Amino acid sequence: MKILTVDDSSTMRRIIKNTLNRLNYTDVVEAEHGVDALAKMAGVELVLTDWNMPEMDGLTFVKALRSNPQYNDIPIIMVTTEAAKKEILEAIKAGVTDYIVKPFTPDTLKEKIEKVLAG
Amino acid sequence: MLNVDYINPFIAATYQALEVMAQSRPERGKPFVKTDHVAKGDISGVIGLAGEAVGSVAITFPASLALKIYGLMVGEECSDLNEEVQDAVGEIANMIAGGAKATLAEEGFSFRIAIPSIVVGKGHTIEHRGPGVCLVVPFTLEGETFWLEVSFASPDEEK
Repeated sequence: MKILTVDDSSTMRRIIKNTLNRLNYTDVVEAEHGVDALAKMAGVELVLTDWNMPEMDGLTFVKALRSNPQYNDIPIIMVTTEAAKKEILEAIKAGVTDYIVKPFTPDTLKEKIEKVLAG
Repeated sequence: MLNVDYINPFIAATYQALEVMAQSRPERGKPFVKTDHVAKGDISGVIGLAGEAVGSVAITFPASLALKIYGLMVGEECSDLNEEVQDAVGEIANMIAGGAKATLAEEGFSFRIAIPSIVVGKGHTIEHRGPGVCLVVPFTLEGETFWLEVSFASPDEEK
């Protein structure tokens, strides 16, 4: 399964990638922001995206995917420090499948991925 | 003045960020008011806060502790305060600001957080935003001290 992780923090991309590798998801593509991510969507089956990023933020990126019939059904997990109810509702409205608040444990990431893939 | 109700969510978010990301619980020391702009650490992550309340938050670490935390977070070693370590410190600052933002939003203080900036070097300075005084909260982690700096106030609390 090809997974795209989108975050402007290289540390966070590395943590997520290492966690995914330990869960035996080895085909992981990285992007630094929404524009970068849109160019790397070919073959992607699951998206993990941050919210606050330069160039194109995560919310705009999610809306762009959901407005494209090709990516309308792809599972998207938002992984962000935005933890207020208002923001979570806004992300769900934009089309995210699930939501992880940073900081998170590897177990949380594993549970959320399994949940959305079982979906 | 800095309302003590404002500082507690930042302290709680600091515990949360370090406990989860570095798997190590810091111990809090006695807070004090900062009287100059000089950071006690060698590397700081600084985030501006703007909205119904304004200010900034900084987390500042000695180099040795920043490297240790990076190793605990990522599972890889770094020997100097390179871009990777700077990014990790920025991400910790982000988590602290984000956690506090969520708590304070429930109490009616809505604000936005900026993308973190990083300052490196012995004796570097941190210019906090807003009208509030700057409160420094020392923490001990892995036998070393790091500092949380919070300057945060409602605009109507302007001095």
